[in-house]
Amino acid sequence: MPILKKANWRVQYELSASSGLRLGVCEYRGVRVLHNASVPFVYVNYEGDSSGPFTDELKSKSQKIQIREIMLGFDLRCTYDFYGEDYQYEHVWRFHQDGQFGSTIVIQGPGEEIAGHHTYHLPFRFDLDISGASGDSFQRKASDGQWQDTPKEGRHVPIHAATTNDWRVIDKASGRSANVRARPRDNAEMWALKYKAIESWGSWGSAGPGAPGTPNSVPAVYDNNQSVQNTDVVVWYIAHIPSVERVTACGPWFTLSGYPPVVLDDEDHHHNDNHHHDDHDH
Amino acid sequence: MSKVELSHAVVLKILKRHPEMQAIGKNRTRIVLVRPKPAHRGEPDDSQLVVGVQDYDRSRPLIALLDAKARKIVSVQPSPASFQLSEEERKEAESLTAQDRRVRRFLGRRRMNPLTRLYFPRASGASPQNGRYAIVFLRPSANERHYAIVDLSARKVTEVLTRRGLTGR
Repeated sequence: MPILKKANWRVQYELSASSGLRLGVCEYRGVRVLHNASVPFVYVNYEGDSSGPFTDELKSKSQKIQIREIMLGFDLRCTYDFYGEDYQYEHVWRFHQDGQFGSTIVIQGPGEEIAGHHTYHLPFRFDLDISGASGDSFQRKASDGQWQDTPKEGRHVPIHAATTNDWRVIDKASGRSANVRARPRDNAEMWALKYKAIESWGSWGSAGPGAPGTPNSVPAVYDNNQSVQNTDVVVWYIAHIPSVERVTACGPWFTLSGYPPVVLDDEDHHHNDNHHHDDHDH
Repeated sequence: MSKVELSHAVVLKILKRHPEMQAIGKNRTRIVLVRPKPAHRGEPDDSQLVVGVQDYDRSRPLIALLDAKARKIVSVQPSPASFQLSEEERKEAESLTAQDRRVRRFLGRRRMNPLTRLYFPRASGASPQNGRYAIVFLRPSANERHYAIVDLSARKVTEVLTRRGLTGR
């Protein structure tokens, strides 16, 4: 996998055969954050189940990954245009020099109808690696604002205002955490799972007949009520986007806590960059 | 990630030696996915491949872990979820669609201009319908559409939907 060192980040990335622009190991200021992350597929269904649902693979004809320098950070960007103009997606992985990062998919549509009667369901999978050694725990922010352990695998929905982190994966030994915020119009849900090999292999695009998040689909089929405390935690963030929200963006946003102090450097790109290309062909 | 690459033919040969795969006997199966095993903490991963196999006769996906260096299967188990269509399945679905009388009538002399995706038929009763299906979008012009539903287990087109049939509008 190519490696990009920029804005205090070291990011492995690759364009996969069918599940888009995937990340491998990512470190912030030399400390592990992610083991890998991807958007395995997109699931589309129609209101009233007039027909069965189908999936879109995230494939790019051009196979081009764009690296863009932005204010206080950088983007990795790819267009998924395999199915043509009517079914296009854009994917942006954004990293900021203070440790914020996120994965955003722009749904271009319009798809097969223009009256807003279908829904896009997008699973975002993150194998976070805060402790680096299977010592992570999943917590949710309770209504009183306190972080609470979530003992077992399962589904959660956001309960806080758009600017608040609802969940976090924390290494209690070091105090480091990755905090997750749902995008307000994502109709989002979050699943916390213990890492399992078969779940990891499913990141290559395995799908179920139901929409992601329902009992007969991913990630629920990998939930067997295991502990998500002091273990390898994988989170699946699922956005459910009605097509009436045409040309819309979705995806979670992360901030880091307890990582090495931020070094803000407005001229970061002048000396901390071994990739000076705007585009990177594969 | 695996540093060893094997052809589908070699993967198939290795798979057939495994007892679990031999137990499938003469079922119609096909390799639908071969990917490097995603690396994981502390696991040996530089020579392993994840292989997805579709057993069409029993309508179930299997997932095998293959050691490409040792050329042997590490494990085989049912997959709780379906794999995306392989290129071979995509071509088969489009070929079956092209032969369908309803499709030929719709297209006339025009090109099919197909787009093919993994499809899940509507549930019948409480449980989802078994099988492995593709949906082939027929796009002879910018705005005209029909959709062929292809049962890849039975190797036949089960339905040809209009836009209204697909979208309900």
